Amino acid sequence: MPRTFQATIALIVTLAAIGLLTIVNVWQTDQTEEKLILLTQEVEKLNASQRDIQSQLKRGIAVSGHVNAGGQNPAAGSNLAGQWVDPYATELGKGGNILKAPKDNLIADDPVEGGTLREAISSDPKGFNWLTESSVDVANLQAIVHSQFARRDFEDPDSYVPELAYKIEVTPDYKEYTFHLRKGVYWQVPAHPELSSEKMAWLREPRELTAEDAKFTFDMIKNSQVEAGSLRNYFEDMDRVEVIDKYTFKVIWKKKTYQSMSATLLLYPLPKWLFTKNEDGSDIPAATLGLKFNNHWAATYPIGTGPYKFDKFEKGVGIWLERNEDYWGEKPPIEKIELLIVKDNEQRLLKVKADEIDFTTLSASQYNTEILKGKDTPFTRDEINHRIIDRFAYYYIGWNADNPLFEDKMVRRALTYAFNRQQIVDNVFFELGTVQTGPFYYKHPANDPSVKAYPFDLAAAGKMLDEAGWKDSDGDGTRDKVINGEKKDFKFQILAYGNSPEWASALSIYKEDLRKLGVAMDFSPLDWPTMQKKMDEKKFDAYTGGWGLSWEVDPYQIWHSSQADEPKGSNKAAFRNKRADEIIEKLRVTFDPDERIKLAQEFHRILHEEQPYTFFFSPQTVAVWQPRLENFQVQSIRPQFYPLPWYIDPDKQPKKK
Amino acid sequence: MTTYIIKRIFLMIPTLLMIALIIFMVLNLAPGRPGKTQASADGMQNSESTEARESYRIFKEQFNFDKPILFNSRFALTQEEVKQRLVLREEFLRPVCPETGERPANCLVADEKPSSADVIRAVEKVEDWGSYIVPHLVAIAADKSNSMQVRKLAVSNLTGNAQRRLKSVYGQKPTDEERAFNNEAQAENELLRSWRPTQEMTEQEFDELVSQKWQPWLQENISRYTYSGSDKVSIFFTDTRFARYMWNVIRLDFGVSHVDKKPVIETIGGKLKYSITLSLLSILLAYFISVPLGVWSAYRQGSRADQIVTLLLFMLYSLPSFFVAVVVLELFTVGEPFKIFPTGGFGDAGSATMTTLEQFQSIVWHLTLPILCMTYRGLASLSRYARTGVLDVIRADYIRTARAKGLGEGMVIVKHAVRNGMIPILTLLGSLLPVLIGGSVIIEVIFNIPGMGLYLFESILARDYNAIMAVLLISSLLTLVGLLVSDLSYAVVDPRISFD
Repeated sequence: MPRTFQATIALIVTLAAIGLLTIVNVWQTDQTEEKLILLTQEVEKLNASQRDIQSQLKRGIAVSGHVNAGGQNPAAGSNLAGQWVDPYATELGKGGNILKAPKDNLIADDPVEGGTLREAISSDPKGFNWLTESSVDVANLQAIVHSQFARRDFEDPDSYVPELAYKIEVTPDYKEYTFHLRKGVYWQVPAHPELSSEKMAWLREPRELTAEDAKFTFDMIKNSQVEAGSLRNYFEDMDRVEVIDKYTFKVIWKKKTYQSMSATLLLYPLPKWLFTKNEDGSDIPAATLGLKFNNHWAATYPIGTGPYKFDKFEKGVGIWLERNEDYWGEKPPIEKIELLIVKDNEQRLLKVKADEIDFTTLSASQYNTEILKGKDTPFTRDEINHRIIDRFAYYYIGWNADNPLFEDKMVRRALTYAFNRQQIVDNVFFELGTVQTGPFYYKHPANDPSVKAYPFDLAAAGKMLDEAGWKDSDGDGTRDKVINGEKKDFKFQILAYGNSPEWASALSIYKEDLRKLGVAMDFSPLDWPTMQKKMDEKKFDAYTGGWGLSWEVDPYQIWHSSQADEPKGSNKAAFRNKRADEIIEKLRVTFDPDERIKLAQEFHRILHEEQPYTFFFSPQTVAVWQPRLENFQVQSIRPQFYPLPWYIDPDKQPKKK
Repeated sequence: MTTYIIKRIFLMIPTLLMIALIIFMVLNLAPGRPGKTQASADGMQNSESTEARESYRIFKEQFNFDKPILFNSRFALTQEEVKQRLVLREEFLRPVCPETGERPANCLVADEKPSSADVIRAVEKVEDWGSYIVPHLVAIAADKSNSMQVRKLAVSNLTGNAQRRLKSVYGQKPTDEERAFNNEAQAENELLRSWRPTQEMTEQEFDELVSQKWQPWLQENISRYTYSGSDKVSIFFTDTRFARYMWNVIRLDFGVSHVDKKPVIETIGGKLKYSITLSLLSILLAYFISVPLGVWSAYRQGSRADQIVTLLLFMLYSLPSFFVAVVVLELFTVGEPFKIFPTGGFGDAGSATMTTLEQFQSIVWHLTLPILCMTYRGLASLSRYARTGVLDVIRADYIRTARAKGLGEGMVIVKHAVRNGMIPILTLLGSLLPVLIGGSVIIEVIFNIPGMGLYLFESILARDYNAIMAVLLISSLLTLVGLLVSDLSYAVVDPRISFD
């Protein structure tokens, strides 16, 4: 016993000694590490400034001579926020240039510089090559890391304003577009540590954006090996791209089409020098260029010409961006952007309440509990601001017109009359939406304001069904009709995407109203792959869906009768109408704005008459943001949350723990 | 013992193969296909394009989705089978006869129009049959008894099916030989693609295209499309999805995710650190609390204290973790009433500027709540196991002997009762091995931790077969290993058990 006792004592003493030593050790290491980190930061700062000087020297810009905007050397104007004047401004609106001066004053005149914008995105991007990857998050990121040739004016979306191209001319038949690129626009130099090794030195040379890059981008879209999917649709009628000189190129289309304009102008060029190379800088053989492009290594580190450059991406955690100090245009005030990947909606709400992110959007039910019914929440105490904004989209119920039940437009109209849309929007979605009457955004000029939504009226709906021959002949409570010699009950199923509680209650209300009408409806929530399969195979009666809208009016894909017969086409409702087809085709070759609006409004009226969809509503969302985020503008077209105008006082930001 | 271990390991191989086969079959037979089109984040549809056909074909080829699942008998396809599919497509393209008025010449009675499900299947089939049906397609195109539309469809399919697959496309450095092959094949592919019929083409032009381009080309390369008996046997078994997959797995290549085109194993490696830290800590914590608790309540069996502890543990057990997680988040993170812990995540972002100690603190800070939520439910069962274990032995003779020889009560319990009573609970550890990497979907979602559970869940939603297979195979392997370890641990802890 004493022997064991002694051993135990010895063990305890040794352990204690080791523990003490460890603590001392950890403390010392910590101290050294702290110093090391400080040192590294200093060295990095030095390096950065040295790089700046070098790159400026290489571009032949005087380092010391500060030149005011509008001075002799237009390329060297100060482009700090509020002081920038576009050196090419005099070219706008002159001699066939279709670009106009911007009316949207994006960047405030006297913003506070610096700070970090912290926001949440919903999923891991699958890669940052926007050409092969089309998710919403990648699209939003692309909008700040890359620059387009031209962009739509946020104030006046029908006109294009200059970005990378300062001048674009088009022939009267709209088949040849000539682009003149800005001189002195450089591709970003990656800051990512993984790219700072010696092997990657070739990445860090300054490279100017040229017409070759533009041509390369168009070529990749047309390359049959590239998985450009939906994007290639828009370029079906594009013929070729010709490089004229280093800064000038021509895009030539096979025929006159309206969407050629937006497709060519709004493109974001990709760097040719990067995508034709392997990681070690060797060339990719031309034969496999397209295949390699689909999962090119550089898709993990987007390199663009936009206002922000990519710092790093940690899978499942977040993406970090920093301001591109060599940006060609007016620099945005916010210095860093942190995009945290937060998959759960409730987490995003928590994070904004805990001041871990600066803004987010609330779902309808969150809006109800936190703001409408909330008694003492940060939103009601005005610690966090909120604003209701329109989402550029609409929801609908689509009727399969190939199904004998929904063949007759009177039946479809009756079904719309039976859908209590306003009530549902008011009570289920807490008034976050506007009842939709047609396929366009309700504030878009193409939306005919004289079209009024069909009211909720069960009596009228019943009369219409009676007229269409649907009567309850056997008294079982369900209407029926003899079709092809067979008695058929009015009974159908709606495929419902996802299982959001809001949609479920909307459909339950609808189901109840239809029951009163003598129509038996049933709905089943499905996941996307299953739903898609059923719709592709046309094994459905009706379905719920939503379309994101674009400013451009081109109803071809969803409404043209040819798309109804296309396997996997988007005209799932099988809408076929001769006059509508004529309008759609005419819209594709008409450039005159007034004429276009007239055609589009007529199209809207036809759809209202025909009711191929029961248009539901255009949703709104509630943007919430910390008050320190100032000039919080939300755009009405995509990207809606465009962070360039916003600014943050860095002194008001919470310090990290 | 050694023979036993070796025997068990050898038994594992066929078991794993069977598991792989079953998972593979279930996955591939499940409805829904992986594809480029997914609903985007806000629930809106993306458009499915028809122009995307060619790149979809390449996508299928890359992941072997064009191959049959288990056995490949495509070399035996007949021309008639191919023609049938093309006719189906042709019929689908014909206009439907109007019920009144003049009927167009080539119209189809509405009832005879093939369903779009059949057409989609036919398009996929012909595409998937790939190079095996190239001679048939040429023959159909050349056969003037077929309708013009069918012949044109045959040729436009040829431009895809006759394409040659490039070698080592994704490898970093193709050899010179491969490079030369690729250049040649790509040049040929481009050429074949250009021999596409157009809708406006007259019959004569089309005949010329077939007889002067396609037929001579096939004559020249006919050796590619003739198969000897041994070729057929090897194609039958090896040119299939399963064979190709298993061949890669044997070489420890789990393939590339369809979703982000990155090697699956790299992604799993990145996620493991989150899941293992979380599960390991919570298992350890559960054991540290529940074993002494179980022993203590066994010792005080039937007392008021024992009853209270039991009641408490069962109350905890019946609280669902998603509920508790949400409640603790509301209480401790947003300042109503406390703001002690962060809302989620694994460690603070921007860790590069923190010292090791700070990083460690940050991780502990972030993990406190999730680990709490993962642990509390396990306490009930574990402590009950410990309690029963001790109760089983506490009345044994050797305990009485130990007391009788004058050993202190603490020594009796710790050294004699607990050591023997813990055998069942120790062997439970073995079965926990797969849990280590499995992760927990609910906790990971609520606390926004990018771990394995969430990854598997998302992969299933996206039909990301390679990712699902890899995760399931690895956890099957760990289950098997865990079972072996737990069997062996019996023998180690309890000398009465032996495998020899």
